[in-house]
Amino acid sequence: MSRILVVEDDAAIRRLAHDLLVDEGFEVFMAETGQEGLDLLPECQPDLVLLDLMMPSMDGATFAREMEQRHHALPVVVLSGSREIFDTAAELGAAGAILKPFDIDEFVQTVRRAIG
Amino acid sequence: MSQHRRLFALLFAVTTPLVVLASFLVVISVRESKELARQDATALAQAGTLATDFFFEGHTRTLRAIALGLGDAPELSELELRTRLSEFSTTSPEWDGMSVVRADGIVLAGMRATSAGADLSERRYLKELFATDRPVVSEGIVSIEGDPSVIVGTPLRFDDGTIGALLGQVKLGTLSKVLTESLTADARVGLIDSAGQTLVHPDRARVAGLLNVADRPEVISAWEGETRTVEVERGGTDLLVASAPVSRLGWVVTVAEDAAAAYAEANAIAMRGIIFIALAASAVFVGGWFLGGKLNRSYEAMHEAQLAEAFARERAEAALRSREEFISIASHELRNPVAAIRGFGQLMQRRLARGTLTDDDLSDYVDNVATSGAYLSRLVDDLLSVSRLEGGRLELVRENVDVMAILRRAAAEAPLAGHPLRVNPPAEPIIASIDPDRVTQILVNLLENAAKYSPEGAEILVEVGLGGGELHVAVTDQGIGLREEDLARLFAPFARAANARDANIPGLGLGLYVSRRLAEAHGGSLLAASAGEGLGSTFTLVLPLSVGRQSGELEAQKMQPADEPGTPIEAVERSPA
Repeated sequence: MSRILVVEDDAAIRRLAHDLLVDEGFEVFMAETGQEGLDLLPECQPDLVLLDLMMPSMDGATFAREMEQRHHALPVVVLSGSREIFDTAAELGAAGAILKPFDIDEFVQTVRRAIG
Repeated sequence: MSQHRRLFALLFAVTTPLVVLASFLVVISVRESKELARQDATALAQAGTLATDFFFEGHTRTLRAIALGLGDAPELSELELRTRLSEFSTTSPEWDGMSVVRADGIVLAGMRATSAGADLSERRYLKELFATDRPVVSEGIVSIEGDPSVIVGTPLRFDDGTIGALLGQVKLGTLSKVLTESLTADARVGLIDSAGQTLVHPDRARVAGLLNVADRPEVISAWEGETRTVEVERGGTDLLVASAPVSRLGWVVTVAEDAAAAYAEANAIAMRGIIFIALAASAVFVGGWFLGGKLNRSYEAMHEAQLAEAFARERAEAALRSREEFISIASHELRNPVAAIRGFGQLMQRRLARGTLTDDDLSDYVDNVATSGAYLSRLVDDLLSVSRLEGGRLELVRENVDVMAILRRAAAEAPLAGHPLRVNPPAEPIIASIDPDRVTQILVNLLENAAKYSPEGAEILVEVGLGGGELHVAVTDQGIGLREEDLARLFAPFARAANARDANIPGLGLGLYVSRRLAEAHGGSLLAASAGEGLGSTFTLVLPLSVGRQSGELEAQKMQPADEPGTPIEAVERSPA
């Protein structure tokens, strides 16, 4: 069973992502901030990170770089309401990008493709 | 400054040829002046030769006149002849004696008895005299006392038809005096004979010392018949020496001047020229400096104008960026609740279809949809308000409402994120003529901000009261506070406090702008205060009361027992976040 870490500050989106991914049979961990996500990494050993790009304190890009520095070379799917998401995804070498608002089927497919 | 330097360099480039030209003119003037000085010296030398010429011409003529009366000399006794010669010698104090010589060179008689019988046949001047039958002047003789003299000779025809010569020794005292004193006070005049012997010299001792200057260039050139000047250094002094030949005698008159004195005028011209050039250059440079400074200042003014223009453009671009940023933020802010509503809707459909939708999940999903919908509604309200405010199309729908009722509605709508709300209600209910939707919008914004910028669980205080006939609603949080510089710009559209940006707290930057504009539309205001960063903030809504402050019916209907002064209340009417 693949493990997914969801890093998202918006409670509603976090809950939505959680339930959608659980329905697909993933084991889902959740973090409200980037720092929390980094702290969770060693414990949950995820196969993929679903990452919101626009978060207070630590944004998604910073989280991704921090994660890389901590030698966690993980596939990342970025999530954002900004159209710049595709540029940022390319910069970060993300495995997938999901623009809010999204169709839940597309959401699931993107994650599945990214996790391989 | 580099501009100033460039101007200076330009000026330097323009000035340099002028300075060079001026220097050239000065050099020419100096050269001409020096030429004049040399011509002066040459003229002095020529005057000296003339004086010398006249001197000898005069003595030669005297001697020839005397010679005419000596035809009988061979017939006279030595004593008789000597006595007569002595008489002739007294005609001029310069005669140092005379002698009559036979053709064979034997002296018949002289001024002294011992002179008679002397043989002068080998004397160069005597040979020349007999050979040419013309008057001659000997080379110089310098006596033991240092008085130079020469022998002047003229042919003499005796009555018996034989030839002899009358010789007279002439002291050069007068000539020397004329040359050294009369001609000029400054120049040192010298007279040099055909053997290079100095006969007249300002320093008589050197004449006595038989100073021979035959090797000097000015002497050699004069012997060759040239009149010229040379500049030489003698005894540590630079001298200008002019020399001229004395015709027939083969003698040389030299005029030596201290070069510094001779060229005094030239030097003065040079000095004046240098001073003039220096002054002119200074004037140009000083003027140039000021001009350069002035041009530089005007350049700077121009530059400043350009800077101001660039600044204005930058500001316009920043405003545009701010709007673009706003659109980006707004789209993000709008997309989150839309994503939640759409996503939960789809999720509910799917789970319903699969028969996996539990009641607990359903409740949560519906709550989330409702909350997101409410947030979306607030955002849309703010955006529409801005649009209306900026288009001047906002109209208030005033009603007489109880302020506490509005506050409760706002507390229910605002996402307080678990922050406890404490309300200090007024002593008596306050009824105000306000647009309830707009005032609710203001209070929701204030409460939302208070919650958003406060540490988790920190209490938010709302105080409602009257002051100066106006309604005051103060919302105080324990949040990140405000920097002094942010207090002023906080209410600008899309403006956000620097520390809010730093903390990456999301927001449109519209809430306070809209709130203040709405307050102003009511004839009121919205004020911000903070003790400083990290010390919390207080936002106070001030609205005029256009209607009486209470109505019994409303009071009975709206007031709750929990609204005692200082009693903490929970906002019970709102949906769970």
